[in-house]
This record gives sequence, C-alpha cells and structure tokens, in this order.
Amino acid sequence: MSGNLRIIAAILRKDLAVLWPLAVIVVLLPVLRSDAVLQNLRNDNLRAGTIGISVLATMLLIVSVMHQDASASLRDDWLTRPIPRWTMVAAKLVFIAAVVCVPAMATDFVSALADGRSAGEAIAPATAVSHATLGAMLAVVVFAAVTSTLLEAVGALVAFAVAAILAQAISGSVLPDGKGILVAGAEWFSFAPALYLPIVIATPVLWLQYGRRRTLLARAIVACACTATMIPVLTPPSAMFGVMRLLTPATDVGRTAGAALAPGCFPRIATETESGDITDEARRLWNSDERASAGPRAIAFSTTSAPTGVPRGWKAMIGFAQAFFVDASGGVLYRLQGASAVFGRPDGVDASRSATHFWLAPRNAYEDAARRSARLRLKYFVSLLEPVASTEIGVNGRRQYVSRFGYCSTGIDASSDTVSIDCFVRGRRPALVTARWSEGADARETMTRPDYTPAALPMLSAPYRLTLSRFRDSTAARVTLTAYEARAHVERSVDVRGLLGGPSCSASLTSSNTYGDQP
Amino acid sequence: MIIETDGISKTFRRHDAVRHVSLSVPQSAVYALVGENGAGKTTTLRMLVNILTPDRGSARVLGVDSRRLARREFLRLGYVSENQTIPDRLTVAQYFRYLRSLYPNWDPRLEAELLARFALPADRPLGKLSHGMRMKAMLAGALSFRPELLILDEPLSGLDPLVRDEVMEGLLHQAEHTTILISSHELSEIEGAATHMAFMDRGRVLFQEPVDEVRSRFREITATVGDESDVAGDLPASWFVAERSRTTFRCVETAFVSDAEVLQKLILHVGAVGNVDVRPMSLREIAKSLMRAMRTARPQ
Repeated sequence: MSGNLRIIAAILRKDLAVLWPLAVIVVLLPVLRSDAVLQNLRNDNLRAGTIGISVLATMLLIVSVMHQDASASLRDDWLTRPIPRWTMVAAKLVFIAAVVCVPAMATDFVSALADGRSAGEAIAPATAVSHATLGAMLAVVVFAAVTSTLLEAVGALVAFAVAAILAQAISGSVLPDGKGILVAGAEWFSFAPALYLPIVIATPVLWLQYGRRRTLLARAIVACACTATMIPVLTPPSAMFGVMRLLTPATDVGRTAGAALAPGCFPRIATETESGDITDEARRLWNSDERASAGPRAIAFSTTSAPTGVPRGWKAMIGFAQAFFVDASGGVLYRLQGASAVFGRPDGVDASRSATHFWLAPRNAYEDAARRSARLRLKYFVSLLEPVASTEIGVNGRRQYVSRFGYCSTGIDASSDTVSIDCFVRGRRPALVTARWSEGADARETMTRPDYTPAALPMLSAPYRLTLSRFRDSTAARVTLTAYEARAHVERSVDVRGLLGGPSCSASLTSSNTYGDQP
Repeated sequence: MIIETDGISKTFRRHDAVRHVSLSVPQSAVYALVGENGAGKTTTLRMLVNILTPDRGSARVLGVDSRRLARREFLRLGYVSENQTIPDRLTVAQYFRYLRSLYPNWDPRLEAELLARFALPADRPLGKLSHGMRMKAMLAGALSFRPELLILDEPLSGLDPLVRDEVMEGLLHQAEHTTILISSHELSEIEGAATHMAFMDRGRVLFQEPVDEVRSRFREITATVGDESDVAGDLPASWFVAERSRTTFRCVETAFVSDAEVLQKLILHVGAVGNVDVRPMSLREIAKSLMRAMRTARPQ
C-alpha cells in the first residue's frame, strides 16, 4: 500500500473507532427513510421526524468527522503529524462517501429492485447524486472545515439561518413587488445559489483552509457565499422573471404573443355581509393579514385575461400577475393585493385559454383612484411552452423507458380511485409534462409543476408523478403524455380604462388594450 | 542550528503576541524558552511548527522554512503541547496503533518501553486519563519515532511533582540525541538538563545564551548596611529587583565578574556595607527574579 493510502486507511480506522455509533445510525438511516418504510408510516409527523432525524444525524456525522482533525484549530494533534493536508481532506471525503453516500445509493438501488424495476433502471436513481444532495453535503463540509468545534459550526449555521429569516422578513417590506409571490417554475432561481455555491466554493475553501491554513480568508468566502444565497430572497419576482427571460433565447412567439382582457363582466365581489362579517369568498381568497391590510369595506373584483398570438397547442403559463391603479401619466397610485389562493399555487396558472385573478383594494385607495380617473393596469409574467414530445402508455403497471419522459409506468390506485403515472428521468426533466386520457369523454389533463431550470443547470434527478381520475374502462385505456419546453418568458401589460369592480357591470366595464407592451 | 528564526512577529487583532523574535537553537541542545504566561512562548512555538504563520520575519526548522514544513519534516519532529487536542474516545492502544501507521520510522520497541515506563493503561480511553497520564501518552507518542527535534510547550504544567519527575526522566532518558526546545514558566524541572535558555517577556526575547553563561553572570547579593547609609543616585543597570530594608540591601547582579567588583559597586552606590553575601542562583531563581523585575517595570 502506498504511503498516502496507508495514511488514509489509518485515519479512516481512527475516525470509525471514534464515531462508529453515529456512523452505524447514518448507515441504517437510508433504509428507514426509503420509500418502502416511509409508505408504511401512516403518521405524517413520524415520516417528517424520520426524515428530519436522518438529515440531522448525517449533518452531525459530517461535522464530527471533519472536526476529528480540525484544520481551523490551533491545537489538533494531526497538525504536527506527518499527514499531507490533501491526504487528510481525501480521508474525510472517503469517510463521508463510504458512510453517507454509498449506503444511501445501495438502499435506493435495492429499493428500486424491490419495486420491480430492472437493474438498468434501478441503477439510475441510485447513482444519480442530485445537486441538492451534493450541494447540501458540501455546504456542511465547508462549514465544518472552517470551524474547529461542533459549537462553532452550529453557531455559524444558526447565524446563517437567522440572517436568512431576517432577509426573508425584510424582503417583504422592501421589495417593490411585495412579499410572498412565488414565481411558478422559478424555484431553480431561489435554490440555485444554495445548491451550486457550495459546489463552487468547496474546492477553494478546502484549498485555503487545508492547503494554506488561511482560516480567515476561507471564512470570508463562506460568509460571502452565505450572503449570496440570500440574493434570491431579496430579488423582486419581476427581476427574477427578467433573469429567466435573459437566459432564454428570443423567439418569434415571444415577440408576437400578447394578452387581452377577456370580454365579460367584472363586478365587485362582496367582502363583507350586511352585518359586517367577512364573506366566505373573501375568506377563501385572502388570508387574514391581507384582509386586515385592506381594511373594512375593501373593494374586491376579479379579472380574466386570455393570451393572444400563442400558437395552437402551446401552453401559456402565468408565473405571477400584478394589478395597479395608475394615473394618466402611468404613475402607480396603488398596487392591489392579489389573492394568495391563486398566487400561492406553486404550479402557476395555466392561461392557455384564459386565467382569472382576484384583486383586493382598500376602499379609500379605490375611491381615490376613481376620483383621479385612474386606470387599472394588469401585468402578467407569462411563460410560453412548446410541446416537444408526446407518447401514449397503457395502464398496465408495466414500466417502460420513453425518450424525454424517462422510465414511466401507470397504475391504478383503488383507494383514491385514480390512475397514477410515475416517471423518473435522470437529470433535467421537461419543463412541463401533462397527462390526459387518449380517448374517452374526460378531456381534463393534469400537469407537473413547471420547472424552467436552464439547460445549463441540471438540477434534480427526481421522480415525477401525475394523477388522473379513473373511469370505468381505465385498464383498457391509454394515457397521453406530452412534454413541453419553455421557449419564451414574456411580461405583458393590459391597461383597462376605468377600475373594474364597480357595483354593476355597466358601471365599470370599459375597453381594454388588447396587445401588451413588448418586453 | 536546528532552529533559526529571524525577527518573527505575530499580531492577533491589535495585540502583538510575538515581536521580532530571533532564536538560534543548536543541534542537540536542551533549549529552555522561559517567560510568564502570556509572554508569547506558545505563539512562537506554534509558528515554528507551522500551526501559525508569522506575519513578519521567517523561521527555519530542520533546515526548512517553517511555512513549508511537510510530511518529511514531521517525520523528524515531535511536538507536545499542554493544550493539545487528541482523539479522546480512542483508547491508548488505538491511539498508538493509529500513530504507528503514520510513521515509517516508528520504533515499536521504544513505544512498548515508554508505555511500560509511564504505566499507561492500553485499554483506557485517552479522555479518561488524568492530565498527567495524558501528557505522558502524548510524550510517548512524540518520542516513539525517535525525532531529531522535540518541541514541548509547557509539557509539565499542572503536573504534580512526582509525575513531573517521571516525565522529565522519561524524556531525558529517551531523548539523548534529540534536540529539545521546551517552553516553561517554571524551570526547576529542567534545571539540570537545560543547556540553553531564552527569556521572553511581552512578545520579545530579552536574552538567549547557554545556561552556563546565564548561571555565571547572575548572582544574588545580600549586604548589611548601616542605618545612615543611603542608596546613592542611579543603581547600575546590571542590578535589578533591588530592595532595601533598615539594615539589609538585596539585589540581583546580572553581569557578575568577581566578588571584589560587587563590593566596589556596593560601596559606590549603597555606601558603607558590612557583611556581603554573593550567592550563585539556580535557573529557577534567575527566572523568578527576571519575571519579578519585568512585572515591576511594566506600566500598570
């Protein structure tokens, strides 16, 4: 055995001798959190607890093994022993791979085999270390590398968590777009720094810490990376959408697509009963904070818009929408509160035909806008998706590989009287996948959550599932799956002369600008 | 020189822990680095073994720039510090098995001999050993590969006298051909073994020289003086911790040449003196008087 390998083996033996109880727990945890076991845990708290303990134990083990021979310490025995520093790093990474990664992969593999999948398919999820897993593990490694005790590491993590919570709280009050708007499909933007920064900084931090023993500089890099992970929290949704637009090459569809207010009536929605109680509809659409900020006798109404210039078969998904009262010169007088029941939906709004939104304004803001002959401006952030592949699969439980969709199977879930389509694709999945019955009366389709991760950033190798309502001949029927890719992300405005939300249709419905502004 | 430093300095935030320290440790010396707690001894030693990097100056250890010390040098260098962190959950046997795999030059027979000499229980976890036993274990771990250079940072601090003697005996017995650099604020335990000595105060080295020379130039002077005699003007720069009671004058002479010269100086600066006692000092007494002098000179 060569010198370095002998040293690595010695360090591994030593670390295992010290940490074996925790190591045994971490080796066994993947079995506990495997689908086979989790599916049998009826209690949601127990399931969450199992996963939580598993994550905590893994983090604790990683920090502990790094701290067995801390580099940020001035007292550790190994610092003056004949151990090359990169050999020490290698020994720690080998330990983590052997105790954390390999058992998890083996469990996934065995679990997939037990699920009836072929060895070829089972190996795919087992070896697909997702960026989330890798990023999270490296983040813990990096935190552990620049600290010398568990207390320091926990302190640093707590400080980071507190800063993140503060950033979240502050963002709500400083962002022009307001808080709580989730841009459907843009989760990658929120999570990308947290997932990729540890991967990017791991090597320089370990090099500085172990190779050069520049602890302060290594800590500064970690602190900068922590700060950078909060950037998405502090990024307004419109800017987030702007980034997505920048990363997507311009297409003709992106230039020609527009939006228009659908013809119809948009009267006021009652928010209070005559006795002053909150109406059920208002309660359903806006939470108590939103209702409280709008005050008593607030004005509520809905809008329905439809896309224009979108090719047949494409999807127009609204990431989020905004509504403003604007004066004659276009200056914003008031931003209306959208209904969280709509905006909170992570799958976005399929506006391929039309999309309805609900708005709430304080009575005085509404009356002030009416006095000043203000207009209502609706702003839509829309993603245009092109169908790129379509396939039919039978409801026979047989697993098959379908190009672009990955390994898919369909099965009947008698308890919920549904048919579920389970797929797994290694690497990036299509931006959107829909499922519908190929024949029969039920034309409804279900879809996955949109995911507009740029192709350059493969994110998670995760399974995805679609559920269709079952009908009598389900076993003989076939399901059509369609994959979509995002071709453009556009921002469109619709200006309405008047305010809508009047006491009756005749009082408020006015003409609309049927073509949106170009981005 | 097995260790040679050239004006190394280290600052923590705004505190100058070590200032322009230049040390020269000859081969085969037992070199005592003496000074009060906080004098900068530990920081100096940490720079020598590349745990810390000097902000200024440079150090050569075993012929290599201390910042470049690597595996090859650590195979020849042992380091033991009183506040060293060792894997507490390993048993003594596991710890030595681990160390053995790191050193091709490990001497299992010497290891066995040291474990027996220090009566270290093989199956006891290191974390459950007393402070003295831990120090013995660390010392055995630093001696068993027969290092050319042994750097010890307060290895005897907090040990009871019996254990202290055992450790020193074990150390000196096994380290005949080893250069030892030992830091201490207490010198009694290395009194007989030290060949060289450096004294540090507030991050600076005030002097360094062979112990024989130190012993030869330090004397404790006690003289009886008359009631009317008075200390005339400034005392010689070579005298310190001078104190006078009604009939006695005491001081430490740091540049002793002869009894006659001492008498001459006393007459000149103190006046008529009666009995004069000029007594050689032990290293411990020298160190103590130096520390007292430094403490007195320090601004409050």
